[in-house]
Amino acid sequence: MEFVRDSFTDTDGTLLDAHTGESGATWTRHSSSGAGKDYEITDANRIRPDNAAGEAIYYSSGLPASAEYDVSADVVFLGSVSSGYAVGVHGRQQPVEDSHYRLYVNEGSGGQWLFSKRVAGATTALGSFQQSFSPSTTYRATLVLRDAAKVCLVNGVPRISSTDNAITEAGRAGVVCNTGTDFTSDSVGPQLDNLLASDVSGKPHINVLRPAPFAPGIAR
Amino acid sequence: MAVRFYLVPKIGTGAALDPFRPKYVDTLGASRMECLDYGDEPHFLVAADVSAAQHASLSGNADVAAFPQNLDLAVGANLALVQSELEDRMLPGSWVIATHTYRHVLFGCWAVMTIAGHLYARSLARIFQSGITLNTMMADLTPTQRNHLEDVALALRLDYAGVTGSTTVRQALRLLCQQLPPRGMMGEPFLRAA
Repeated sequence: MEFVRDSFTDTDGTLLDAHTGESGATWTRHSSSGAGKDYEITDANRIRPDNAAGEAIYYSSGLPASAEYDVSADVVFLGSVSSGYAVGVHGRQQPVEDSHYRLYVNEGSGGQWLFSKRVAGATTALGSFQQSFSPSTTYRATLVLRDAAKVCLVNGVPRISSTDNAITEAGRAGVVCNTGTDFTSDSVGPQLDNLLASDVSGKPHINVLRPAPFAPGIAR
Repeated sequence: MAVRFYLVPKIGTGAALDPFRPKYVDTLGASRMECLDYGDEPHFLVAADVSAAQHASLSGNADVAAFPQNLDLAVGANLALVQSELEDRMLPGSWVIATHTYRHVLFGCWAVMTIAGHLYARSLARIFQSGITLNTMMADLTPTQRNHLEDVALALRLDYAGVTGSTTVRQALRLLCQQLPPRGMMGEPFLRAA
């Protein structure tokens, strides 16, 4: 059962917290976000970080039925920027505490997907997968949150797994970015589109955790 | 390429673009990696898909402990070395015996780190606060410190009844770890010792 859906269709330049998506998608900017740092709608109906330096964390209004759910979005990579950055999705975001799990992209180290946890404002790396990003290419990123395992899929293929379950509350699903000042237009960097969050109820979620190379010990 | 396991020091400030992460991995170039932090302790357990050259580079650092590629090997003659590598990182090591395989050792590391991660996430506390060692008795912890550990046990639905004032931190962690279900990292299952 999906509880958030947003195609980010809106007027160019609209800030994310002034936008409402298709379902469960009224957006709140988390209080831990940096001053003046925002996600905004692009001229192609996606969202991108603005050109202020810092971090912005948004969580959606949709409520998951439990702490086990999936968060996915299209990551549309348009072109390189010079500084390091984090652009991606999160889950189990606590509305008060600055705690969540996040899956994001970064061009550092030749391009990589990174999975990390944020606990009370401190970020800890939990896994990575190297991938060079091609300009004008869309990648589907999915964060699978289960108590027994967290799995990150890129275009449906499991690329990162983790048994970390330090954040157990359901929280909310949403988006996160941390960038420098080089996201200066609608035509650079990675952008996000077609965000979907769905509960595991009514879907054969266990199959997501089964494919190789993850052994049964991970999937249990 | 092969999945290899390491104990690696923690670096970083915890900032979003400078996260806590294992030392050396920024330049390692591993195609895939999974890591588990030891709560607020300064160590990571790392599983990485590495080439022979990458393994040589990482394991060549004096502050990195590398597990053998064949995890089914018994610890055997390396028992003292394995125990000291664990204890040097505040990981209980005295439970390891020569007939244990490295899958057993990895389970021991994973389980303690999992408990420490929960403890930090719930209370923002570390196990080994000033003056606390693996041999500290529970009675010598503050009530708050004891409560933190008991809260983790409750959250993980672990039986804490066997922990008394004369139980050492080492014994308490071992008691809790033995109740966790066996897991693995990057497709390599770990084994819980009897």
